[in-house]
Amino acid sequence: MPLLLLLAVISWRIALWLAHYLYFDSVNARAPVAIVAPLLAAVLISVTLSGADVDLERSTARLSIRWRTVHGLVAAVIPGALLAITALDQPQIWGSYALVRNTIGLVGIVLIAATVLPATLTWSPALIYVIVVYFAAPRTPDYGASWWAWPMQPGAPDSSWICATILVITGAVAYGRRGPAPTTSTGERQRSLA
Amino acid sequence: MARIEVRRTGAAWITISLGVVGAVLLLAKQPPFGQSSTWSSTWADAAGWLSVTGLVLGPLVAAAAAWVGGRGARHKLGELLATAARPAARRGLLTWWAMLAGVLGGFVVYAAVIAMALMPTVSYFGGRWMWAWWLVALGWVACAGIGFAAGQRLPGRLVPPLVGVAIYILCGIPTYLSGAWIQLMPVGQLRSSGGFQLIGWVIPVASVWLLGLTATAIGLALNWKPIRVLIPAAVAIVAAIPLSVSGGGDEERYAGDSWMESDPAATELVCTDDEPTVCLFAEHAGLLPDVTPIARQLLAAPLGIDRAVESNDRHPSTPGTLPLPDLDGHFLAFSGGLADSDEYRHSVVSDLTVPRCSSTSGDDAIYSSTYAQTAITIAMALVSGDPPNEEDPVAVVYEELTSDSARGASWMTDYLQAADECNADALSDLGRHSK
Repeated sequence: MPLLLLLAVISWRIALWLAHYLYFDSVNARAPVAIVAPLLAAVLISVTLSGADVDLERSTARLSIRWRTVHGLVAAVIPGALLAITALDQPQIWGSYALVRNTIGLVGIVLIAATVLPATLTWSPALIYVIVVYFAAPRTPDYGASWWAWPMQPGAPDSSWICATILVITGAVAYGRRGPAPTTSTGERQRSLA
Repeated sequence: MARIEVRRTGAAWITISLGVVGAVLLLAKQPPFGQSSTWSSTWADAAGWLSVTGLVLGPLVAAAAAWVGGRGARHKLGELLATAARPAARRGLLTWWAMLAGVLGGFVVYAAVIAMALMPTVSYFGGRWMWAWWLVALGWVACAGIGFAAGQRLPGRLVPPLVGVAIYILCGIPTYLSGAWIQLMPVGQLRSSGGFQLIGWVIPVASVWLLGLTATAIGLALNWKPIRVLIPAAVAIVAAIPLSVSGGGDEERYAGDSWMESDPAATELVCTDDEPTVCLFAEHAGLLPDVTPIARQLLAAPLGIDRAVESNDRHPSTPGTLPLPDLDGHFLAFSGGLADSDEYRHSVVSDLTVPRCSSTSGDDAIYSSTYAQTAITIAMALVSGDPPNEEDPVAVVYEELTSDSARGASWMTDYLQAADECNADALSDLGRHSK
């Protein structure tokens, strides 16, 4: 939580600077903050998705599906809300809307990754995806970009929100049902038992 | 032992991931994902593309290297490994080589994808392109070294993604700045493009800089003796000095391109054997089969010229030739050929017929005159061979000028002279007398 607060303060300062520095293009210049701050929030959240011993956790008699689902959703909502208040000016142009959408969507990717990848690698799909679309995608909805590059849209309500919502719901449900991926594969477990 | 280490570091996954991400970056800029092809099938442009996409792949390499470098700490094996007989530095070096094999494998896969995109239309193999690719590969290696050092020396599970984001930001910000020093960034700053090549002395010095940077990072990662870290660091700094203060390169290019110089062989003309002659730069000669029909159709207009020559700001067309705009960015990746024939044809017609005035007042004088605009419309129709609408009054004039070829040629000669001189009065006269 302290790191999330620090992230929110830093993103607020940088967004303010980008929006008011004469050299840049007003609030349109906040795009890097609207992408990188949610990515860092999602990376921070990834640390909370598994305990010290995932295999021990999975061996408990009662798997707390409801708790894990709530954990996933809260993990998306709290940083999203924190970051949203850092860019309230013209929120539809790389402001609060984009920060919330990108945070929930990227946390969704991290939650999905947590169910299939080792705990130490859950950040990797979100990092790869964000860096690639930031470089390659147009910042307009043309050519289907609002679907395949949803984080790169300025923030106004469009299909990019549908993508982010689907990701976070899928992530929370998948994480709730499956939990963090086991650290050892089935084959390795069988070998160690043998 | 080495094979086990290659498996443990996930080198194969690193290779596959880098190759896939590289291919995605290339495809994302092509139709239907991008607006139009902005690809140039030249080795120099491909080096530029490799370098620019290093802004994405360099940070991923660094993140992967940090993840591999932090393996021991992540599994809390520090104390256990410290008790092993084998020296820690040698063990770490083996991990580094295994991880580097994965990174270089990724580079080879990505380079192969780019070569496949180039091959159908590439026509020029000079310009020290291999050395430009070599420097990009060394930039990847430097990113791997920095990431590996961060993974080994910094504690915490978040080091790999944070290293990736940090490298991305640090290498990305200089793209908005100018100055020779920005080319010292390991990735993203080698602005190789068509018609240019690396300056000879830059190749060894930049190689020393990047290798010195990598060796310093590895020395820090493996806790070498200070002297063994300081030597490569000193060598890297010595190499960085001439690179960062260099004012070399072509004066017409901005400071960030001071590592590059003109490549005259790339812009030598390659012409068709038969008449009317169409000539393209050697590096674009692969497009001759696509451009020749367009140029010859336009040469059939009453222009009084029988030769079309590619030109750009650095190599302007000579009088008496049909200037063909620079073909940079007009290639189709993978399938080869001209990306958009209609667009290119339109740009040839525009370049020839639209008056180019050096002052705003000249433009204003032309575009405020209805007659001058009539003349421009007639000229574009005559050159392109696309008749105006029948209801348009200009259509009658077009018919008259095309039916009387001598009159048409004379009118066109006068028009081209007036357009070249940005003479609004002469253009208005041509438009008025046409009516």
